[in-house]
Amino acid sequence: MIANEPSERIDPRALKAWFFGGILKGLVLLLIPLVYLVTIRDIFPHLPAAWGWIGIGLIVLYTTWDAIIAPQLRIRFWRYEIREDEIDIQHGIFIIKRTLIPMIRVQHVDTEYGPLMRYFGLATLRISTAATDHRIPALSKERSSQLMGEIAALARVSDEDV
Amino acid sequence: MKMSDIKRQHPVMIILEAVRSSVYMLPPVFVFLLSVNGDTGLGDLRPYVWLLAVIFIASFALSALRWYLYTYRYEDGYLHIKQGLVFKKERSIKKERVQTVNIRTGLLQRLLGVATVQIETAGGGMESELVLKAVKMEETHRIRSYLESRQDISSLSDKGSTYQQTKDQVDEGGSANNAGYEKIYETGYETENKAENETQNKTGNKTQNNTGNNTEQKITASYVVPLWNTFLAGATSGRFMLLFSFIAAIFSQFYPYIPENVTDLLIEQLLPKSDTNIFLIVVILLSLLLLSWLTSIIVYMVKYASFTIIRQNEYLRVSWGLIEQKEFTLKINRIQALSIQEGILRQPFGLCAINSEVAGGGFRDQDNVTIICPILYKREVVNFLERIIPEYKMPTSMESVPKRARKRYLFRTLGIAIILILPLQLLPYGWLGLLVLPPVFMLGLSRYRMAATSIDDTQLNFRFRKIGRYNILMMRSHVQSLRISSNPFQRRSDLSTISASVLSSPSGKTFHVENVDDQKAMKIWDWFSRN
Repeated sequence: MIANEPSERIDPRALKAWFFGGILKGLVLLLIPLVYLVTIRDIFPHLPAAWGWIGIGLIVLYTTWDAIIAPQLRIRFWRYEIREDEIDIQHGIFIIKRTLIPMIRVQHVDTEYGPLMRYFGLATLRISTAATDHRIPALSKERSSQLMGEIAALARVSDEDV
Repeated sequence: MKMSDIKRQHPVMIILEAVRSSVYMLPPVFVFLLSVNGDTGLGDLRPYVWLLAVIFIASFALSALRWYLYTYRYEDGYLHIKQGLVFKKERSIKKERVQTVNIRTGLLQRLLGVATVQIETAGGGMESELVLKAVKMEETHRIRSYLESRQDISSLSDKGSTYQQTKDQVDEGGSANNAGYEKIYETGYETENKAENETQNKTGNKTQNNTGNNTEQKITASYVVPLWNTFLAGATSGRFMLLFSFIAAIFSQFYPYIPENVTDLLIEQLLPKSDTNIFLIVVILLSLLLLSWLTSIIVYMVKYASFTIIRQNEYLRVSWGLIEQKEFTLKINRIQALSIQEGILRQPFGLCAINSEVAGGGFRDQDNVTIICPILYKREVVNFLERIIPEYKMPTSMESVPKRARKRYLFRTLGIAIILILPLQLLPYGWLGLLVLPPVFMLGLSRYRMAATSIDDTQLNFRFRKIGRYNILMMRSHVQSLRISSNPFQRRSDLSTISASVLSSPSGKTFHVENVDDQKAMKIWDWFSRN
């Protein structure tokens, strides 16, 4: 892989946000096997109970991965750096992706936050070029609006150059 | 004629539109009528005739009204359009915003001497497009040259003669493949016709801007695809398989109706002493295959007849077709990437096609690419680019992926094939599936051999094979973002996948080369980086 990784990391509060997000998703998913076990099997008694338990097992496994293990790995590999002329992003758990976006190619920058992210004071920065979309998730709110202003200014300046 | 005159489309449009809309209206009306008094039978025909007359007169009146209300005029660098009776709609398009001007001519339209003009501006969706359904041929060229007149476009009112020329070239070009090139105009700023001069004076300051990069301004060259090449393209297009399945399906429907003695006779004639039906089936299949192959060649040759590419200053003008003629004009800087594509059937003949990814507009073919040249000998590509699109250069040498990438290519290609074949083993004769493994192995090997990258001052080049072989040429300034990625196995052998994204409507397009040596990837990264 490429030497000299981008310098900045994302906010460690992301761990909490991802944890709660993952648990919530797991709970919602759990409804499916539970409904199967409690109601559907009462209506059709010959359906085996095993499927319900297998479903629960799979969801527990998935949630452990999604809420606890994956966020740890994700945050370990997430790096970004915003330079004067370009944005450098590195992310991924198994497949590590390193992306370079020239500032002049940036079309617009958005910040987005869901209810959970907002609760933890986090936001996602989305950078769009004419062809691709890139996200830097879980920045602190102040950092993300600061970066948004920075990128917007830099993108405009370089726009005038061209 | 003054440029600012209010104009309408050709009145022929009324008839075209009336016919079209009544044709659309008829089936539902008849279905409705049949369902209303289906049990009484047809009986009295008069109400139907009346209804027909009413439908036709109504649609005629509507079309006439629509024709009358649809006016356009061009002046001061704008194209203004007005339409509608109750809901009025006006639109003005600045000519600098026009991306492409497409001209289509169907058979009926050609008999009437009119054409459809499609004017596309940036941005997706229907709203970005403006259509004049029927305007006279001369007028289409006037509109187009007006919209492009910021640059010195030489007179296109003599377009008719250009076509004539084109046809002659095709006839001559039949034997000599290289005969397609011809310099048509040597346009300078002096040799413009009067109408253009008028607008030029109005936008004089813009013209001065253009003199800055003058080297690219005076290119005028053209290429006509020779007839023989078009034949080869049709023969290797691979579309016959599609047609084959279609014809075979139809044939299977009719087969039972062929009298038995005819088939018997055929069998005896073709295969004396045939005792099995297999031969008959094979013969039928082969002849159907041949039939569909020949048909597809003819269809292809009619569709892409006299394919002409004209480079004029910063515009590329591409036209083709025998019955339905199509034509589009493309500003060179709208091209985001060139892709030189050698289909698996074409590669043995050394043939390729040049396609392009275009930002906004262009003429989308079935694969959502804009054709620049449907068929060309690979050895001519360098020459072709030099003459027609000198902005892009075919790389002279490329850096292949390292040898340690070979096992990854083989593993990937074979792996997918094996996963597909495994379930087949449960079926009788499933082992026949194993026969595909050697060709797939060769494919994997070839994928490894073909994968390469190169960079020069301004251009990033990828070469890779999917089934056919692709050469992708991208300008540095058109690459929207660059990505280098690697999975754990790649990381263990210092390989990575490099991806470049370019703009291509409706959304971006990303090209990949897998298993590039890390150091080479790093070089491309540094080349792309502004730091």
